[in-house]
Amino acid sequence: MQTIEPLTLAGTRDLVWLSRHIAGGMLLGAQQSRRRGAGIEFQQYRSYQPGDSIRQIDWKLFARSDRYFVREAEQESQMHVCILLDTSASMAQPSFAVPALTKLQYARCWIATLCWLLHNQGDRFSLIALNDRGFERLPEGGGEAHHRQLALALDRLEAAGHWPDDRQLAGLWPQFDQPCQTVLVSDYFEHNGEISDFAARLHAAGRPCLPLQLLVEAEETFPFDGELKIRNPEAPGFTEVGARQQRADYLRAFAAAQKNLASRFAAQQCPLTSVAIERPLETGLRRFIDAHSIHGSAGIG
Amino acid sequence: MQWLYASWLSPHWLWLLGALSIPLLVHLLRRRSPRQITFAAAHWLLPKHRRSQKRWLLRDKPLLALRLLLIALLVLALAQPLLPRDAGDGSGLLLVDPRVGRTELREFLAGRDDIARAEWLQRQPRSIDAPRPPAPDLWRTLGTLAARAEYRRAQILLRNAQNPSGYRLLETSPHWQWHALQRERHTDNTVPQIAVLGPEPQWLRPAIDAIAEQSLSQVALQPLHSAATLDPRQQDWLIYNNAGELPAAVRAFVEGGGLLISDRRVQSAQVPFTAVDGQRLEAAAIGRGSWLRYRDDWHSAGFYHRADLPRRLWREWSAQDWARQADGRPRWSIDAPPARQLPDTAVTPARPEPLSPTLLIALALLLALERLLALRRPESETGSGPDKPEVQP
Repeated sequence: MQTIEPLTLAGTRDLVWLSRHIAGGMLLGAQQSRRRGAGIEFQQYRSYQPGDSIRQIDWKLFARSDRYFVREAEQESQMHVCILLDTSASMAQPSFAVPALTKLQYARCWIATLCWLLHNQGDRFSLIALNDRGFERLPEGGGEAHHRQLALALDRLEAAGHWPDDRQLAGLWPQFDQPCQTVLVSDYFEHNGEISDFAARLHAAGRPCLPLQLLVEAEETFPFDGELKIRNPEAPGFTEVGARQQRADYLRAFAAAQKNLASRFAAQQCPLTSVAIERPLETGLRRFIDAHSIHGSAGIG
Repeated sequence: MQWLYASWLSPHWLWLLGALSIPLLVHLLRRRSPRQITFAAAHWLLPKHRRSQKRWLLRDKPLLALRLLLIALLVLALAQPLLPRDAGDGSGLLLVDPRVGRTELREFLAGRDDIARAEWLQRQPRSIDAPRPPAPDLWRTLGTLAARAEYRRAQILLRNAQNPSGYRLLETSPHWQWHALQRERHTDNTVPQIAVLGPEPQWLRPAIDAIAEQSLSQVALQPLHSAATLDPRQQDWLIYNNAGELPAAVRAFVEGGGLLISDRRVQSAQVPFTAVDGQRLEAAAIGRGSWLRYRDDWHSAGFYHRADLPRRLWREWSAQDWARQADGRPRWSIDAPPARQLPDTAVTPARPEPLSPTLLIALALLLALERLLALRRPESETGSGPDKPEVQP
C-alpha cells in the first residue's frame, strides 16, 4: 500500500480530500456496506452552512424562499463516536525529522480520516477539542457535510495552554449524556495522571474511551547530544541539560511512564495505541482500528 | 639561554610552542552555547546539577588533547632534542693516523692493554677494519673531534710528532693521550716535496731518479690530478706542464709560499720576470713564493739533451732556499699542541638523536586519528537528523 509522506500531511490544505484519499486506500477491496437512504428520515430543514454539500440543498425550497435550506435527516446509526482532541500547547510539538509536521497536524489528518471511515460505515461522529482556554465543539452528526464541517473545525484548532482542570471539565460532562464511544487523542504527557484520570472517569461512566497517543520519534529515542537548552511548551523558562548524561535517565523514566500509562489503559480493556507521527498515518490508523476491533459492538471498523 | 642550546639542536623552533594556544582557543571559541529545542517530554528530564558551571569546561577533551599533542610533537620534530647518550667518553679507544702502516700499528698495539679498539682518525672515525681512508687534514680533524664527547678520552696515534699547522685555532681535548711513531723531524722535511701538475715531461722522471741516486734518496715526484689539491704546506715545488694561462689555484699556491717551475708556454699577465742564470731562466717573486720559468720549450731537445741535466736542474731549482722555507713553515708538536684545550663544560654530553622518522610516523598516525575523531564528531552531535535542530514552533 502506498503511504502518504509525512511532508504531505504537514503541507496539506485540504483535509477532506486527504482523509478521503487515505481512507480510500485503506478501504481498497472492502465492500461498500453503507446503505444509502436506509433508515434515514426527513427531520427538519436547516439553513445552509459552509461545509454542507450543495447536493443537499433543497432547490425547490430555494426557488420558493430565495434562501438556501438543507434537508436534514435523522440518521439512525449504530454508534456515535465522540473524538476528544487534546489541544494543549504540547500538541504543537514538531517532529525533529520533519519540522513542518506537528502532533496537532498529524491529529487533524488522523481524525479526519477516521471520521471518513466512520462516515463510510454510517456512524456518526462529533469532535471536542480541549484545553484550559475553552472547548471547541462540533456536534454529533454524520454524512459528507458533517465530515466537511469537521475538517473546517479541525483546521481552526490551535494548540495552546494546558489540559483543562476538573472545574472546566465539569462543563463537559453533559456532552456524554447520550451513549457514545470516545476516542481521546493526546500525547498523554500528564503531570498527575489528569488525562488518564479523565479517560478512566469516562470509562467508569460507561463511555469507553479509546486512547491514541501521539509521539515524535525523538521522544522515544532522545537522539540529542551536547548541551541542550530545553523549553517545555507547557512550563515557563528553560531547562539546561547535558544530553549525553541525561539520555539513559530520560529513556528509563520515559519508558516507565509509558509502561504505567499502557497498563492503566489495559486495565480498562482499552489498549493504548502509541504512534510516532513520522510513521505513515495509514499504519497508525490501522493499528488503532485493529487494537479496538475486537470489542464487538463497541468497536470501530 | 645556554641550556636551550645544550638540549635542543634548533631551539629557535621552540617558539612554535605558542601554537599550542591555537587549539585551545579554537575549542574555547567553538564551545557553542547550548542548543535550544522545544521538547514536550521535558517533564522526564531531571537536571541533576547546574549545567551553567559546567559550561566553562571544554568539550571534546580527547580531541583537544590529541591536537595539543600533535603540535607538541611537531615542535619536537623541528627543534630536535639532544638526547643524552651513553656512548662512552673514548676511554680505551685509539685513533690512528691513516698514514700509519699496518705493521707499525701492530707493533704499537703489541704491548698495550689499555687500548680496547682502534679507529681511523678522520672526521667520522671508523673501525680500523674499514678500508684505509685518505690522509686527513690533522689540524681540522682534531679540532672537530675535540668537541665530540665520545672521543674526549681517546688516545691518538700519529705518524709524526710534528705536523704542519693549520690556519685556524686548534682545539683539543685535555684528556687526549698523544703517541707518535716518529719523534724526530721527519726526513721528508729535509728534501723538497715535488708535485707535478699536468703531463710529466719525458726527461723529468729520469732526471729525478738520477738526483735520488746521486745524493738525495728521498726525492720523489708526487703527481697531482687537479690544481685544487695544491697546498703550499704540503708541497714545496710544483712542476707545471700545462701550456696557457696560469690557473688561479696555482697562483694561490705560489702566493702561499710555493715554488712554481714551468717553461715559457705558461703565461700570466703582469708578472715582472727578471732574467736568472744567463738567458736560460727567468724568475719572479709572487707573494711569499716565486716562479721559475724557462725561456724555451722544455720539450725541445736543446733543453734536455745534455749530460748534466739532473745536476743542472737541481742547482737551478734549489737556488731558492727551500730548506729554510720549510723550517720557517709553522708546525706543531704533539708534546705541546698549540691549541686551546676545550674544557669539558663546553662539550655537550649528548648528540642529536635521529628521532625524525619515528616522530614523523607518530605525527602521521596522530593526524589520521585526529581527522577520524574530528570527522566523526558532527554525526554524533547532530543526532536529531539532517535538518536544523533548532526548532521553534
